[in-house]
Amino acid sequence: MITPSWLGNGLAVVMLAIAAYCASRLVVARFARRQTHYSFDLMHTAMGVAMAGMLTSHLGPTAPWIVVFIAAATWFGVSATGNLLAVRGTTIATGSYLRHLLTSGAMVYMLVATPTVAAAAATPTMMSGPAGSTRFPTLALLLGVFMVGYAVMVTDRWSGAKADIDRNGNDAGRDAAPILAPGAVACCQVAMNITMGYMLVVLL
Amino acid sequence: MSSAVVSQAWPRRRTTVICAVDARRGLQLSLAALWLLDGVLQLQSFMFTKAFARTVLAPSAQGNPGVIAAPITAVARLVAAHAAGANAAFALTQLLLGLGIAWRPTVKLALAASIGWALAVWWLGEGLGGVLTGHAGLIAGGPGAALLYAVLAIMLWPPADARRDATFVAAGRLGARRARVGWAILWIALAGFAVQGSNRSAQGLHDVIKDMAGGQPAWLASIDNATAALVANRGLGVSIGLAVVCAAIAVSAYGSATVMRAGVAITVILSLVIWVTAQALGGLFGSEGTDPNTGPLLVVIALAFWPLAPRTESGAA
Repeated sequence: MITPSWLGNGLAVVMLAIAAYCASRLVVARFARRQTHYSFDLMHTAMGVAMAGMLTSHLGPTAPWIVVFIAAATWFGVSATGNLLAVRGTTIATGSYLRHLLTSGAMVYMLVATPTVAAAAATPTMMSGPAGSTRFPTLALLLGVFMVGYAVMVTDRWSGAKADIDRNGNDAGRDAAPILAPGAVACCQVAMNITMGYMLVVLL
Repeated sequence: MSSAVVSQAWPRRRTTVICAVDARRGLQLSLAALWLLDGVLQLQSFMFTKAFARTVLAPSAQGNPGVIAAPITAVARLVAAHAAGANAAFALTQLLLGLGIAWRPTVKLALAASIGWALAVWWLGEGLGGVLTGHAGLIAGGPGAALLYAVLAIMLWPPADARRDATFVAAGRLGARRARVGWAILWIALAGFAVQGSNRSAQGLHDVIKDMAGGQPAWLASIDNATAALVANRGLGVSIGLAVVCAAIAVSAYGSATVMRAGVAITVILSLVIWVTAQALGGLFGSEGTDPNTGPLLVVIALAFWPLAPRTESGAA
């Protein structure tokens, strides 16, 4: 074992906590009469559980997860297209859908490229062959860079323009109910993107 | 001065300032992303082993004067003895630097910390980038990626008065003259490195590029191997050509806005070409890369020198 087990386990705990929080948002938002983006919360819940499973080699069969994330990617792709074509669609919302589309694609890639990230992290890579045993390592690098850039963008927007975060993918009007804890969502996104960046980088 | 003149001049000046601030923030975020990427790379399996200290840190002492080499060797021993803990601290530091620069209230603190951290890494992790050993070179990643992180942090430091010298981003805090001097020193140094030591030998560049191609994906290895074959037995000629281009880039900062733009464009193209064809994307593949090498950093530095066109309220340049 090369990577300390505490790293994978620690990140898995964080991912599970995020999944639990995002699942709770689905309920709390309804009772507190706050807005939330249900598809994003559902996506983050599924991602958190799947990533925790991959980090600890306790994911189980990957096929159902691949179906889930292909469905999510399709949903976000359709939503982005619909938003783009809509008269009142916003660039911010379209961008948010597209980013989630890419994130879903990254999940599918990780599930297909290698059985578990934990297994890849445990590989003594300095003795492995060219570019390791991962399929399409260049895609892993591109997606990893995207995740890192996404984390930076969310951090900047959250710190500098809270209103941007509030609008990000929500399109909340002036008379609409306030969004439920947008700062917490940004935190979750940053943590998930960095963790996914790590998971993709260990596949290089 | 009539009020009409003032009212016409003010928006032009004001819009230029806004343009400079936005461009600076964009480049700061690029720097933040690079630090964050470094932090994530530092979490790779290999970095948690003693081999990281023995094969990455310790060798950078070779060829350096004793006063430089001794601390490198001591730190390498220390890291080897506490590989997991030390590496976790390194990764966490770099992640925090990236997030700190991206988080607007802490940008100055994070930039200041990044300068200190980058200079420490430049010495203790990169052996001053081979500057004192004769092995530094644009192709090999000289004068060291870590030094460029520090340079970039200084150039992207938020100015006290955003209006001052906002002709290009790097001039914001340093002022245009100092920024140009910094640019010239960097590229004249790179021109000098190009024709020093083993870089002048017939096979010098070939060997450097060939080494970097090892362990890369097939498409990247084939590009790098082709480049190595292209420069084989032509080391001196290619090095001299590279030195001339670097010198031209150095003086371009003192030209008109058009000349500066040409210099920046050439720098971006040259940096990206070298990054792909000779630096193998910084060796990110193979799970032993700690950073993407100098290519992306030189691009960001160059963009900080792109002349910002003053625009009126109507958006005309």
